[in-house]
Amino acid sequence: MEFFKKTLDPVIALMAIAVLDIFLFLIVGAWTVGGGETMMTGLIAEVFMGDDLKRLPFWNLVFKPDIGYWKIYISLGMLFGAFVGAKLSDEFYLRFPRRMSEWVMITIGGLLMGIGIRLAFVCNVSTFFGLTPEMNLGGYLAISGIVAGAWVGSMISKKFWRVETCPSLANALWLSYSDLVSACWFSVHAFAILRRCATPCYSAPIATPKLYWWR
Amino acid sequence: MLFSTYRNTKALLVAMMILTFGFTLFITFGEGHTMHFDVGLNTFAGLFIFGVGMVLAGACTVSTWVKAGEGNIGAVWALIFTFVGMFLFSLVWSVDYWPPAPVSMTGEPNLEALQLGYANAATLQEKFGIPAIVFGLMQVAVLYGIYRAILRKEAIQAGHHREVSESHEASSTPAE
Repeated sequence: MEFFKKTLDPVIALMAIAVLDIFLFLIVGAWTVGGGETMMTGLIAEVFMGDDLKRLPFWNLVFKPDIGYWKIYISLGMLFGAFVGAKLSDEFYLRFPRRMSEWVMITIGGLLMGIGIRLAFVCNVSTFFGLTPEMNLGGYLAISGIVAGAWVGSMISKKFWRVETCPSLANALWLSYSDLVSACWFSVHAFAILRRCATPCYSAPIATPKLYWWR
Repeated sequence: MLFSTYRNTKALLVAMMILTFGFTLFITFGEGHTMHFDVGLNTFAGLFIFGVGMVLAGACTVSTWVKAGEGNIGAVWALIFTFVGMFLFSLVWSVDYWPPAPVSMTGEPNLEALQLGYANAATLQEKFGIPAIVFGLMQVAVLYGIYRAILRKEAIQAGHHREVSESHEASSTPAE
């Protein structure tokens, strides 16, 4: 299949996506990624935890696991489309990250993406192809956030790569890994703490049972 | 990465110009499904964290799905940890309830919860009585300005590149 072997000019590819996205906007809503993944997380967690999941207010108030959610199928469609395209052009083969540092970066990167998406309610696709073209205030906030984040991220990865060239520092890598994870946890909590300081008697939006399975 | 070369940035700008025009045109007539939720500091902070993660993982959520479909196990691993990250976030949310759940969003600025409310082309049209497409065209003009600036920068870079290669040729010819 010749069509799948050629690389499409990004301008043409994104113009086609833009036109299709306008149709999607008219039917269900602009293309977003993140909601579907959250729903999948909920569904997977439901398989493992069963009814215990219901004791976590998040899965009641924000995302009720629902297999009929349209965004799940957009994500699965991308997976399927990429698979078919790669198969048809004979480019499908299993690729593994070779170096330990790559695995570490992917792990941290994945975690940060998951946390970031849920904190903001949007990912980069919904920022560029949804919020900003709708002129939503959040679009401009999100773009400034993503530009700053990508800049910081490239600084971190540069530093990582320099360390990575010296194999004896594998231990240091693992240490930085745990440091980074705790740093990201801190930043998530910092906002909650800040908010608490500003409003000492802030109450939860809806009264929920104070029963947590992990306590 | 998003901004390492301008090739994809230019394509993104073109797509955003088309989308801005299309979306605001339909919003003017009250058509289409806009994303409806309050934004605030969490939008900036979340995308900041996402941006760091995106660069470290070498892919955003869309490209992880696409790469996973092409057989990239690293991308599958990134996806698994995206799920883990979302689950961890759900644990934190269940304690501090921030950012506010969609059901408790009011659409108005709520500075106590660091929320700025809901505002987009539709609310602008409602508030000012000017069709949304007018604001949309303004945004298209801004995006086009950025596009032009990139073209200009590329032309300067190309010119510089030519000068350097010419001076290299000039200095290397006598040595031969």
